[in-house]
Amino acid sequence: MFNFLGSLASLIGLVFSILAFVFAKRASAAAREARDAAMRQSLSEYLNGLARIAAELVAHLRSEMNDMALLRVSDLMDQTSYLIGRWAARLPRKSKDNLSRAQEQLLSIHQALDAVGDLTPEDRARLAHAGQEVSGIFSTEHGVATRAAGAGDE
Amino acid sequence: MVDEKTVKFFEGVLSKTKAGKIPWEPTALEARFIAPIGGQFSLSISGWAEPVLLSEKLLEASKGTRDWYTLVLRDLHGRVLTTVTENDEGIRPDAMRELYETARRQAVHGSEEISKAIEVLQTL
Repeated sequence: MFNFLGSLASLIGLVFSILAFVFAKRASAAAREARDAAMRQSLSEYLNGLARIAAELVAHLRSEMNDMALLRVSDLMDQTSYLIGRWAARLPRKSKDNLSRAQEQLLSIHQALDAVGDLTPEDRARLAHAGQEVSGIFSTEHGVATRAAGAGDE
Repeated sequence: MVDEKTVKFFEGVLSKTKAGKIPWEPTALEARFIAPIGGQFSLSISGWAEPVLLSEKLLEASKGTRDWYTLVLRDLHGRVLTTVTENDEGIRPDAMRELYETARRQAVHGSEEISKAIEVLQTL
């Protein structure tokens, strides 16, 4: 009789252990999913901020406000470095290529604006084109990140 | 002076550029072209003003005194990993010029534009 009760208790204990393991696994997966969702949301918001600054950069370049444009370029360079440092491991290859492209374009805009001497109309056209490309990259990446955040929520 | 690995890197960039596998594009600077590669690195190549007009003789005469072309490899964080110029040991100046010219033509879609110009000429 005691033997039977002992076996039954062991069996019940085993069932509870399995249930506890299953619930712990589920809770861990849910926590990981919540963390990933928060990261995706945060990336999307960050890229939205960068897209706005890039749009301001384009406007300053068009208005020939070089000092303001240089400030925006510096902002974008710093924030792109931060973005890459924080999210690089989670970004797809194409996004990383796009961000590399943006960094290089920003560097060239900085050098062009910093150069001694007046800018020619051709220089201005190249600057406007490069600024527009940077703006396009951040808008595209914002869209990609927002879609990924939306897909994760569903 | 550059090491063997850097020479190999340069030759790799040159051959992939000639094969049209590197997406060179123009920048805000007339004589600077860039290309991201593999989601990990970026390349930039710069030349001095009017490098197209540089002759073999001028390149040879200025050897060691001035860098006309510079190829830079950066990582994703913007750190410079290596810089190559035509004056580096093991780098042929004409190969560096060829790389710059090929990258420039691809970036500005020179070949397509020349074809269009030929078509226009034929209509004159």
